Formats: sequence, C-alpha cells, structure tokens
Amino acid sequence: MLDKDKFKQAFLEEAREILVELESSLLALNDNRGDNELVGRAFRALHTIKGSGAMFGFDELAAFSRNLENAFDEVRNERLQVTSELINLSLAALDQIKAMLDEGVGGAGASVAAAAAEILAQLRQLTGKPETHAAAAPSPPSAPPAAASGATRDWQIRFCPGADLMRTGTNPLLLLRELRQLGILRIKASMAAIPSLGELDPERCYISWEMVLSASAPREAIADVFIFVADSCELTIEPATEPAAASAEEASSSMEEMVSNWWSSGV
Amino acid sequence: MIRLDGEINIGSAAELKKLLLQALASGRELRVDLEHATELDVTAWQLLWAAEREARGSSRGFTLAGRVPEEISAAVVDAGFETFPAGLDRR
Repeated sequence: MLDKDKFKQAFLEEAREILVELESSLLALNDNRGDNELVGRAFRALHTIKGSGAMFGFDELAAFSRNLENAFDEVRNERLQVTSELINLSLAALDQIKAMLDEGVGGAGASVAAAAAEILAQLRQLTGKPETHAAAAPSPPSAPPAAASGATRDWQIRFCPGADLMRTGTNPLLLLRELRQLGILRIKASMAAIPSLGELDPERCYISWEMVLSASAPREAIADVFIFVADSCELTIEPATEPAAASAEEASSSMEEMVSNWWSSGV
Repeated sequence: MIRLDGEINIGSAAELKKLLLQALASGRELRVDLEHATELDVTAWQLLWAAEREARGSSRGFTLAGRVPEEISAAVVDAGFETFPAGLDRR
C-alpha cells in the first residue's frame, strides 16, 4: 500500500544529486571566495539535505548536516570567512554525508560515526561554536527565520498535492511546517475538492493550500521545501506585488464564499 | 461516538472512513472525540470534513466530544483550516 522504501530511494537519489551540486559550489567557492551566491547555494543544499534527511528518518545525517549548515550561515552573515580550511573541511563533510547515505542503504556503522565526530570537532574549532545536536528543531539562534540575504518580501504560494502524493509517504502538513521556518506564513486550506464521504479515496489528499509567505529567503529556498514532491504536486511560487496581495485577499474571500455556498447548497 | 486515539494517519484512513459511514448511516448525531488523539494527518482531516458536511447536510449535526488537545488545535490552525472543525476553540 504505502511505498515508503521507494520514496526513501527517491530521497537518496535526489540527495546524491544535491551533493554533486554542493561539491561544484564548494570547488567554485574555493576559486572565488567572495561569491555570496555560491555561499547561498551551499547553504541551501545543506539546508535541504538536513530537512529532508530528518523527514525520512536519517537523523544522524540531519544532525551532521545541520552543523555544517550553521557554519555556512555564519559565512552568509559575514561572521566567518571562507578559508582553505573551511573548504577542505566542507569537502570532507560532503564525503561524510555520502558515506551516511550509503550507510542508510545498508553499509557499516562505527567508522562512519567516528569520522563524523572528527569532522565536527574540527568544525567547532573553526567556528568557535559548540556543536548543535538537535536534528529537526527549528532554526538555530544564529539564524532567525528572516535573517537571510535580502529584504523581506511576500511570496504567494499555491500548493496542490497530486493524486499520488500521499502514497509516496509524504506528509503535506510537515512540508507546511518546514515552510513556516522560512518566515511568517499566512495559510488557507481549500477543501473544495473533497468529494462526498462515500466517494472519497481515503489515501489521496484532496486539500490544497493558498499561502502568503513573508520571508527574505530566495525563491529557490521556498521551492527546495517541495523538492522531493515536485513531481507529485502542482506548485506555484510568485512574488506578491501589492495589488496581487490585495487580489490574494479577494481570492481567499471568494474561496470562503465558495465553501460557504457549498455548505448551504449541500443541504 | 467515534473516539480517535493516538496518531491517526493514512494507515487508518480506510478504517476511519468505514466508521464514519456507519455512524452517518445510524441516523444519529455524529460525535467525534479527539481528546486522546495526538496527531491527525490530512487523510484524517478530510474524512472528518466530509463527514461533518454530510452530518450537517442531513441536519444530524456534528459535535466534537470531549476536550481537544492543544497540539491538535494548533495543528488545525497551522494547516489553515479556518472554519473547520466547527466548535473548535482556536486560541
């Protein structure tokens, strides 16, 4: 019925793709150490690995990635410099994450854990910060939701799960929770597609969501939250301009109207 | 009355649907007790929503029996359910 293993497999594949990207970002960053764009890319890759890893039960991997993500957050906020040491350590950490992914598929444990501890100890020396343990807790104190690069802006997001989204083992409410970590989220669920109880397929998600997210995060960071369900949902992320924000209000009030009409007409 | 205990998710969705259909067929008011529930996923919420709509549609009514745990109320707000479930204390 539920094909969680298949979905876990998809996570592993995507995670490896993200790691390839991360590696090229790190190598480019080595040649171009003042490039904030590359720093942001590395940060987002680590953030995604951490978040999705935690979602699929790779707790050690998530905790480990989080420490590295924090280091890149420091770089992003200009509290830590890009040095050869940091690049080398990050590349070692990247190999470590790969090893942890392989372990998740069925490799052996103790040597991987020891190597991870060693990397974290060196990272600690570099950043002068204690290691962070919690894997799935909300943002660390150094990174409040809106502390990212640009100014805060409103994003209009529409998330409509496809027929097979639930069957892949995804929990849409967890995705929304992750989205909430990026900023302030106003959210409205649309129940309009829910059929009568008798016709309702219990394993399919009929609810869709209209949201406005106020965040300084770039569009990619928002899209990354949905990266593992991109093929099984409809997703639009658009900058909300002032008039659009107003029409979003209108849209949601007409949605309310539609729902309440349904209520009365359903009698 | 339907009492939901612990985590209600896609694994129990088919069973919950059956219970709700039976409860509606009984012709009595639909009462759902969430007091001992810890988490409901979207499959559970949409079943309750459809059942609430049908219970009201046939004027049998839908009531939340017992106290609703704070985590559940918070999850309802986080999920963007604005008027559902009716009678929920949203703080």
